[in-house]
Amino acid sequence: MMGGRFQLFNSSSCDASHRRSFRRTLLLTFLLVPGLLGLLSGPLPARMVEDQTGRRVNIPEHPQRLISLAPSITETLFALGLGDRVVGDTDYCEYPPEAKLKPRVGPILNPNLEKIVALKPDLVLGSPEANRRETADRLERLGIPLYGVTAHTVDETLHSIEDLGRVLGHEPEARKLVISLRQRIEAVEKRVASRPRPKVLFVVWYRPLTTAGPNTFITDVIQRAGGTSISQDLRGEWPRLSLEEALRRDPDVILFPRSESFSPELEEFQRLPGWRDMRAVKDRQMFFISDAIIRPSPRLVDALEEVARALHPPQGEGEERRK
Amino acid sequence: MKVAATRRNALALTIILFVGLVAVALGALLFGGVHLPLGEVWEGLRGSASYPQATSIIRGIRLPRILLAMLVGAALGVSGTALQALLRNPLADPYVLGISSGAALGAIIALWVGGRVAAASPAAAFAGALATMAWVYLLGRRAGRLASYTLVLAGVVTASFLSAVILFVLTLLSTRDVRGIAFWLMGDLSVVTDAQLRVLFPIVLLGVSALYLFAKDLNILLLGEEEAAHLGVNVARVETATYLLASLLTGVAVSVSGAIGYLGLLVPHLGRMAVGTDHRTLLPVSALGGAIVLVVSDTLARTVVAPGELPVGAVTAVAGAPVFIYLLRRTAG
Amino acid sequence: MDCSELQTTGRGLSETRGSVTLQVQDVSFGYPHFELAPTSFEARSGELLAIIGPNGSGKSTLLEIVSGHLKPLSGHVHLDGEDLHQLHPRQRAQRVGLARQETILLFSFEVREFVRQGRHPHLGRSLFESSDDERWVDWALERTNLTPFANRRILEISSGEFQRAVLARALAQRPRLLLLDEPTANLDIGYQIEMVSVVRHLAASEDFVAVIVTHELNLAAELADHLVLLEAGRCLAQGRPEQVLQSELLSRVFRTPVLVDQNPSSGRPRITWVAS
Repeated sequence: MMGGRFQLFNSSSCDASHRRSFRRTLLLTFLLVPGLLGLLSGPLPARMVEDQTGRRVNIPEHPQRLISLAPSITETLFALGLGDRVVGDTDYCEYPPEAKLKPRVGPILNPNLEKIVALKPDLVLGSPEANRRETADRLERLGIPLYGVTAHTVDETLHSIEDLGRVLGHEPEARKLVISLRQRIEAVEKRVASRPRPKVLFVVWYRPLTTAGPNTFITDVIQRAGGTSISQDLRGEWPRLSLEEALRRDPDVILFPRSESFSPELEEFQRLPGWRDMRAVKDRQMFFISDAIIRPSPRLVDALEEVARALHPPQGEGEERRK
Repeated sequence: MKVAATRRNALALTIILFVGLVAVALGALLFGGVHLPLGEVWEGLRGSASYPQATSIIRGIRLPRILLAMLVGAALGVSGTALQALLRNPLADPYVLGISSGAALGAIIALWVGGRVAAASPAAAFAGALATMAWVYLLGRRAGRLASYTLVLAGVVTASFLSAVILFVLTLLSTRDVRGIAFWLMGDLSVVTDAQLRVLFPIVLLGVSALYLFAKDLNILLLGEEEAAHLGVNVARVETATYLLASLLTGVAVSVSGAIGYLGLLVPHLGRMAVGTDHRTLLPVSALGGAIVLVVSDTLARTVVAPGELPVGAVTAVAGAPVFIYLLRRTAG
Repeated sequence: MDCSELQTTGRGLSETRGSVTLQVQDVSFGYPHFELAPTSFEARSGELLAIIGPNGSGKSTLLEIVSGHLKPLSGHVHLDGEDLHQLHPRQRAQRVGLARQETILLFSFEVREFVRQGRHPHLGRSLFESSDDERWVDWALERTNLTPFANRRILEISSGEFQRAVLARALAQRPRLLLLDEPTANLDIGYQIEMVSVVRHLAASEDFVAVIVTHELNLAAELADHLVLLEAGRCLAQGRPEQVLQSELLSRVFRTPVLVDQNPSSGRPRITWVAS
């Protein structure tokens, strides 16, 4: 199905682009013959690349039919102007609205492989944070290439977007997008640079109280938005925090992700034992933040700006911070 | 209707059920997340190059899964029957002696230690199953022999201890891994490699055949250990062999598919209702019956909430519990 | 009076013609709180030997040793010259049939299936019974009057019928030695007599030795050819019923006054418990 396996460059770093072009020309000259043979034996020209998780995968030269197995990837693809190449996404891909119109392949954890096969994708994009290893294995065995996408910090997210653009042949769009995102981030950082950092508790789930660990977007975003996460010394990705410990750490601000399944009245917390004793609850310093804060997609920067507005309200906005 | 256990009847039943199994398996090929017309199913099965999607779907997705369901269903059906005879208890199931907990713990530890090495999981699970099997055997011996009640005690205690350890280790895993494990703990037939099938097939075949050699001894064992000894049965040898073979079958099944519940408990019951307690007919009936039941359950799991999928353990539980209650009431009444 | 003394004073019926002999020599056993002192007796096929005594006297232990299953601390059990304890369990099962009270099963067989299991020691390598085997199963069912019950489930028959099924299974083994432990426990008096008579009759017609353990003294008196009386692990007396069943001895052993006279219709001893 795929062409011959010839060794090419490692496309792991996005700022090696100039080295790439030279190397590519050189190698193509050497490998023209096997390349032609590869053309004859397979339907599409292919190249061996290293995906964002370090796996080596054989992907088509110009992938036209893309399937996304994670909402963040779907968002990114649309943001890169690749929306029309997306032929399938998961049941939970809702942003942008056009994503909802695409054929569905099932839930994130257990996508229906038959549907994926039936959509005849050139390339499937997935993420180890969202998808199971078993899905990746099975796609591999079916001969469908899977490109892994991963990021744990804001910087990595930007690199990931650029890499996707490069791999999918939309490099200029990617670069433009990333530059504008960086500008917005720097604007926020500059604004909050001189302000004192409030202590922030990010509540992923409140029963039991679960928050974000050090190596997550949330902690990174809070940091850049001029705050300090009180849970960044805890171990694990989504560590549980006891209420007493949360009380002891005395956060200034509490943030909740906004989602359909979770939008309690903040006033309820003023009645809950433990919560009602927290200074942040008493002072009503509780805010909802877009759930894009947990997605390695361009909207992460929207979330960043929201957090910055919550922690450091721009002059003149005063009490308009609630909800 | 009870069938006299003669060589002829056992053979006839085996053939009939085998044909039934093949029919069910072929039928199951028609179902899945994507609707394939009959012609394409056939082309896919033949592997014709002009129908690559159908081939991928039929040969790459549906067929391995159906084969796995057959092997696991047979393994669990037979080991459930054998353990019920060994423990002289119709309520025994293949997991009562802790094998599935041991396998689960093996897989979870591998996940925790090795990170993302999912390929090692079946091997680690099987190692866990073997270790548990050895441990319970040593614990359950009395005067150098397996005594069924100490065996059950040893197994139950081990199983609950292991479950506690599993819960503990689960809190140490990241949430992402926990989600993956949940599928596995419930029984999931979607994760199968050709290599696994190639290993599983001879093991299940040999295990089931070897147990069949003890079929007439198992009949006698049902009378009680002393009575069996008085009838000339080498009780120690039969019990040990039955225990080892049943545990081996359970161990390989659980290692590749997780702990699919109710099958090992109910298939022997249904088999007994159909053909009686003579293991010379009951064992093949349980093997083939278990295979048929699991293929059907898995087909339901794949189609009921399409395009999503249920783990097959959910289907066997939802269907199994009412069947079990019905059987209980029938025997009590 | 003890066992060895009586042994010389004429044993059993001199008209026994059986060819199979059972020789129990000086077998003893020791549990933590109970000891069976060296005990000996003999029996021939065609005879019914009854082991009697109060509870806890060691009757079942003795029977267990005689079956070859429990290895004695001392002594031997020879059946037709073969030491039963040296035999392979399957060989032993081909020669010795044991029928005793069994625990309730949770599984349901048919009565015929249950009795068929008596053929197991004879199956050898083959997995299934031959037509010869089936014939012996039919024979055993017939002899115990179970033929109409053959297709009923073992859990659905009465306890008396179940006991007969246990006997049938032992008979299906075609043993040289048939041992019965309290075979009459759940039977009413009519069945009791019938079962023990059948056993005695078969012992003669099929040429095997029959040994029963019972505490039904009158039954033993009526139907046994030879009695062995145990008390607290010792054999106190053995011999013909009229020799063993003496009122003074029995009163002492059973700790209650007992009157022994003669049954007017059979001439056998008759034991009557005296109200005190």
